[in-house]
Amino acid sequence: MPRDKQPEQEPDILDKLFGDAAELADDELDMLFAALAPGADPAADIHAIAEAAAVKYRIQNKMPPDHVQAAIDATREIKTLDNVAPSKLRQIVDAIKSPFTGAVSDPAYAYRNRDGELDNDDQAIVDDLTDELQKDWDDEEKEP
Amino acid sequence: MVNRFQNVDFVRAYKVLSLRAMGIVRHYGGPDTFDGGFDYEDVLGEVFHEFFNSPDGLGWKESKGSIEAFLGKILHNKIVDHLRRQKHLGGPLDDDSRTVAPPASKNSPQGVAPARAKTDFTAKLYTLVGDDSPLKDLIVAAEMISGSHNVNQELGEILDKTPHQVSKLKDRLLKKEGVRELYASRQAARTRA
Repeated sequence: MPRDKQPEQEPDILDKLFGDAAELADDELDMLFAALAPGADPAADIHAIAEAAAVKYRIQNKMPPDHVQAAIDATREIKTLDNVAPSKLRQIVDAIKSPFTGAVSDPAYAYRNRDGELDNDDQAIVDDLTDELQKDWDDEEKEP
Repeated sequence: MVNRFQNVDFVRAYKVLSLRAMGIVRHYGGPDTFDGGFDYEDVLGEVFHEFFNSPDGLGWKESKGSIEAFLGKILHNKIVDHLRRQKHLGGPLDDDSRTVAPPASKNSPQGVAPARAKTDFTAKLYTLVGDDSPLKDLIVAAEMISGSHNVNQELGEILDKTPHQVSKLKDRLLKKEGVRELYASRQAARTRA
């Protein structure tokens, strides 16, 4: 069983408002990070640290270990797809196509891999979400 | 052979740990810059540096929890250690004129964590939003929740708003002068109650 428990720390009002960063959906995390660390480039930072570590391993005539290589590959800046290795292209396509099987923050996404027809309970949830969407649209129309 | 790290989202981990670092510094009331110019980003860099320089990634494997949780514990200990050193040395470590820390008394052994911040973040937040009623309501609602999972859903239920509307409110809150600094603990040391 994974042990995800963090050191005990009573949440303050800001923790409560913005939630545990590890629990945030990607878009929410991106919004918060961009607001709090403007100008930061995590991919570039990770790449630089991993690349520096890789150099040390190579100096010792060793191959960079898996975690270092994975970080370098994942954060390498791709400017064009022309010279990207087929394995990397496959990885990108797979990442787009593969279903997300983890917990979802919005119940609407829970239906993506569902087989069969919606029952009454499902329909009620979908109706609620439709109302919610309508509320959001109304809200946006009111905004100047 | 499949690289078991290829599915690790290092960029997400970095963002999560950055926000967590701000929370830790805020929690202990430390300024964002400590130990002679070090700040939480330097400590975060140190954590990743050690992780990559360790041939087995400091022994991390999935059974030990997520990479964020695993590195988060190391990050927590390092930040607390930096703050503790700062407290005991009374100045930057590379400053020759720094004061020497008094010997630790029985009641304040060097091994204890720094005291929790005495900043009243709630009061400070109310001050920053001023007369903006929707944002005041948001803070009131936040005081009523645990803040663990589905925060926007929980806040939305209290405020009768959709999670999307809550998210937009929070975005507006972050644009209020001083709120980002408060979150990132950039003013925490100067706002003690």
